[in-house]
Amino acid sequence: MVATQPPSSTQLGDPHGFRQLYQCHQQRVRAILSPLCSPDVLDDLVQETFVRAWKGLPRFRQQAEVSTWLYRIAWNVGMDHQRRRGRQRRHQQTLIQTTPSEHRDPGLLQLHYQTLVQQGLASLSPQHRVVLVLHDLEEWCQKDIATSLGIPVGTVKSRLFYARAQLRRFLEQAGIQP
Amino acid sequence: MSDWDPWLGFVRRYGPKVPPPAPDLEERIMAQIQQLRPHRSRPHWLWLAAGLGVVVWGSLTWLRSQPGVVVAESASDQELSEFVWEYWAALPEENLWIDFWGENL
Repeated sequence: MVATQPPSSTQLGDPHGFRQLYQCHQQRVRAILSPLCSPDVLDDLVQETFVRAWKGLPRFRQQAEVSTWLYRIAWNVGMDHQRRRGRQRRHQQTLIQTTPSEHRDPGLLQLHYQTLVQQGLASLSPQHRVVLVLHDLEEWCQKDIATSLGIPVGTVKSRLFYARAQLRRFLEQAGIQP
Repeated sequence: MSDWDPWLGFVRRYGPKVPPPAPDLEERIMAQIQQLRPHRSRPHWLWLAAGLGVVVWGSLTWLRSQPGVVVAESASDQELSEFVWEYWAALPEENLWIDFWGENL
């Protein structure tokens, strides 16, 4: 890994400073985008996020944290992608649902559980899914999620509660006993 | 221990992991940004050049409109040629070669 020190706001305008921005924040940008898209387009959306950020630099208000601003762009890019790909995503879900529900092979069983968790996550709205993934899988704190998505901490808590309840119900209906 | 804890372990174990970036992603982004760089600066230069042009044009127009200001007629090539030849012909020969700093060569 090359230098990962966060660049100052004045350094962002030159490519070297912007590269530092990428190196510092690309992992979190990926974490925000990954619940909103399939793995094969994740890199494209990360690229779109950083290019949008570069284009938007002249309008960036220095009062805001650059990370907050960047994560907000990532969220918007992810939601735009959701809207564009809505129909295709439903088609993919239908394909996933054809996976057989009973496997005896441990490898296949693991694949089956992975598929079920993915189906459960896909059954949530993007807003609920992102909060659950960032909090429970990526282990972000609620305050960071709230700041990054531009929502109050209370909203994060309620979305997390609802998302967990819905995912749990989905998995229980699929016969999972943890 | 909350009701969610047993499920949390299950979801963490079988939940999706964020895939690593493609090795060339960083360079791809930087290349695209470099391509965008001239487009970012072009409008500033265009506005600056246009602004200067307007200022010069406005100043000239204003000057010409002032009473008592006579705009010199443009000299023809022939008149210029005659002037140069007459002027240089009148100068002493030692003054003909003067460099930029005013020293005789």
